[in-house]
Amino acid sequence: MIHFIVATHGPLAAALLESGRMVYGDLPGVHAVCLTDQAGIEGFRRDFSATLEVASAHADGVLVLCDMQSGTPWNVACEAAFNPQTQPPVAVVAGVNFPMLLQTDEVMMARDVDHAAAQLIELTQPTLIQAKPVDPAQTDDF
Amino acid sequence: MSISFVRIDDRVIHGQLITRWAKELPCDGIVAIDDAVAADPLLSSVMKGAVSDTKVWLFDTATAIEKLPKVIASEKRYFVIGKSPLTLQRLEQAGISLKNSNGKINVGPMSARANTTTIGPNQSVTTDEAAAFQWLADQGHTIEFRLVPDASFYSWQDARQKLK
Repeated sequence: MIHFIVATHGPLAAALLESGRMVYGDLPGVHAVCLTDQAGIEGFRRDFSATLEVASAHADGVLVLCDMQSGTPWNVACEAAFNPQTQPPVAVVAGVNFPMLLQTDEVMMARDVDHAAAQLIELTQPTLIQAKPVDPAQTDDF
Repeated sequence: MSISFVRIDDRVIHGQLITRWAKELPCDGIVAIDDAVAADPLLSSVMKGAVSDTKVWLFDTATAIEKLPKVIASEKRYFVIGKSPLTLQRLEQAGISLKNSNGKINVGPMSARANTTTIGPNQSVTTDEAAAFQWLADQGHTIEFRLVPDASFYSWQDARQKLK
């Protein structure tokens, strides 16, 4: 089983989880870490490390969903991901959005965290879409 | 029997959620039923655009009563979604059986409104809706409140305790 950490600048991560609970109910195995002005980079590093320890329990891997590539949440997550000592393995993706968060439940049963990361990105890409009106006609071809 | 899933959802067709159910249960199309939505062309167009890749029909209750026998007779398997339990009650009172291969009526989000009692996460009912659930339960339907397939759930019997 894969566990997840949403890691962002400011309160976005915690707010995404709150929004997720509104739509899907509980999101077990998903944690949030927020980089705040008050705690700064060192505070974030401590929070991330503590959260990773919790998320690692009973997990085959931990997938970190960052708000964007580079930036502190990404950099700190990558330090853990690229350290060969890290167990269970950690993978990092950028561009977390609401559908990506909700679709974590579709990849959580994976065993390989890199596979889960690739699958989650594949599920999320079609969620970036422009609204288009549809044909209102209805036919009876049930 | 060609209804594969029956759901009550006050957003009627909620893209992300219905897509999630369609990955668990066979879905060749979605029949959504609500008088107010069906009467509003703009709202209908928005709802029908909420899912891509799946055929959607949107009917008022009277049209649904006329069309559903053909839907049920089809070889294909359809999701039937009502905005309110009262809609499903009207269908069954008109002789449409909502028995389905999922074996139950699923209930998704029902927002808090005036005079509602909260019975679960994002699930609130009025006394009229509670009576409709009870009526459906009395017809032998299992009613399960569950937002998405993997989420925790409770039954109408559990929910009813919170309304006393």
